[in-house]
Amino acid sequence: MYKLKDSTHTLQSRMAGYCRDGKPVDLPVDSQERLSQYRRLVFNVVKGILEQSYPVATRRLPSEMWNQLLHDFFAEHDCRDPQVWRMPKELIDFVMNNGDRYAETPYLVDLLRMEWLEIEVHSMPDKPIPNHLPVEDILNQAIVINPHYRLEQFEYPVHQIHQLDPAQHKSDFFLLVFREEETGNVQFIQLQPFMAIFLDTLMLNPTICAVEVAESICQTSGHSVDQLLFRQIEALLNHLYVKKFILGRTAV
Amino acid sequence: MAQQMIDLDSGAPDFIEFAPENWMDLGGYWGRTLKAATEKYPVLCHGLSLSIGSPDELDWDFLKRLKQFLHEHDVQIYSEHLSYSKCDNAHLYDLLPIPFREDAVKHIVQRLKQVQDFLERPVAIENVSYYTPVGAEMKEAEFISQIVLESDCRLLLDVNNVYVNAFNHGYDAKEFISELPLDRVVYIHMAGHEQVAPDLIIDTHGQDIIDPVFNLFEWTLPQLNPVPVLLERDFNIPEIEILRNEMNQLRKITSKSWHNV
Repeated sequence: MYKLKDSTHTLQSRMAGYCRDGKPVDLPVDSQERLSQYRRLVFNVVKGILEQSYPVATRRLPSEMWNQLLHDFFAEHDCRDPQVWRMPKELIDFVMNNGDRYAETPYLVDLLRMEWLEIEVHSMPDKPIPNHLPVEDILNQAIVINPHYRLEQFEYPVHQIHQLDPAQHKSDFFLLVFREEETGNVQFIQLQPFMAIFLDTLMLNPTICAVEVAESICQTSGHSVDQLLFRQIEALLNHLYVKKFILGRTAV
Repeated sequence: MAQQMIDLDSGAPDFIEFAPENWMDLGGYWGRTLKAATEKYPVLCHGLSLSIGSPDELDWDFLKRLKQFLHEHDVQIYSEHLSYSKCDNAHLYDLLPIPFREDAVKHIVQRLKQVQDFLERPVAIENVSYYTPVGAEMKEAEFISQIVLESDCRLLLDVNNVYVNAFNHGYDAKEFISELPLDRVVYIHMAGHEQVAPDLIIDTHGQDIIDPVFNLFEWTLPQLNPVPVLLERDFNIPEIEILRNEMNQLRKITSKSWHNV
């Protein structure tokens, strides 16, 4: 195996390092001004993709803080993904690993996660849709769900960021995020904690009907099984059927 | 724009090109769009992340996915940039200039052979635009030619990049083209650029092609076998009629030089 000379490797590393952090570097180039074009062009690509992926965070954070975050991310974080459109996901890890720096915006990780979920669910590879029939009894029939979804827990209500300050409302929030089959659009639905556990269990057990799942959760959690709970579950399932997250009942 | 291109009945391009990295593993709306486009048009792919000039190891996991993608979409030509976009295990998502040096030639030739063996197809390497050479010890044309000949790869001749580099570095574009192994050219790129200073052009793919680049293209064609010619436009995309006019202008020049095309 032929090995590149150390001197050439060093030049390439210095050039790449300069493009990442913009710090002056000693390189044998024709013009320092021309060299600075590389830093500008490279950083603009990264900034553009990140701002396209996180439009809410871009607007919400003070611009100085946002720009510093992007600079620090690109300078300090080794971007691993060869697909540039997936690179913004790595910003979430960076913020999580450097939480102290962003303590004044405690909901930042959740906000980035929520914005990334929209991209991830919109673009996730297609999965086969099981055969299904129209639902007749949504509580007692095994149902077929749309496989293109994520169910995620958040500490801050970042989905309500336009109405309130998420930092003032720390709690447990659950979001069901799914892709409409026909349009490809992504829908967000907030769930109460019990309903999130119920739905998660239901989705993991596609042969079991809603009533059986609810009874099983109530047994293990000490929740009382009553008609009110079943009415709430039925209302949720009907809503999800209308929204086409539930596609139908199993076709045996 | 993608949907408009898919819906075109007349005046459609002969083929389309896209970056495989931007379309791999996509489902939903974009997955359906890709399927519709590849069913309608022959496909050529122009990669962004292979980073053939990188000092790093080749990314074999990426290459496995790439091979599968090229096969799935019946990609007729796979091309990449003679540059590097990854270094010290970090992607930069843009094209950095490789030092024009003998050891870099050997390093890249070895990597190209490995990639071509693995993909079981030749790779076409594009001459890239650059704004300053970095630690160059040989001429650019010599650097490109040695790599193409020693690795037995193909050449994607980007005529706009030749024009941009000739302007930025003060050399003669025609002389440069004459020094390349033109019998290895399998594909041509044409694009617009932006002059940002009296002595500097940036290769943006965001403008119309200018006449001097059309002229250089016309001068080059008689020296080549007929090959596909791509009109590149990455942003600042105009109405489809304007793109059609540019495509027609390219077609007119090619049919003049390559009578049977």
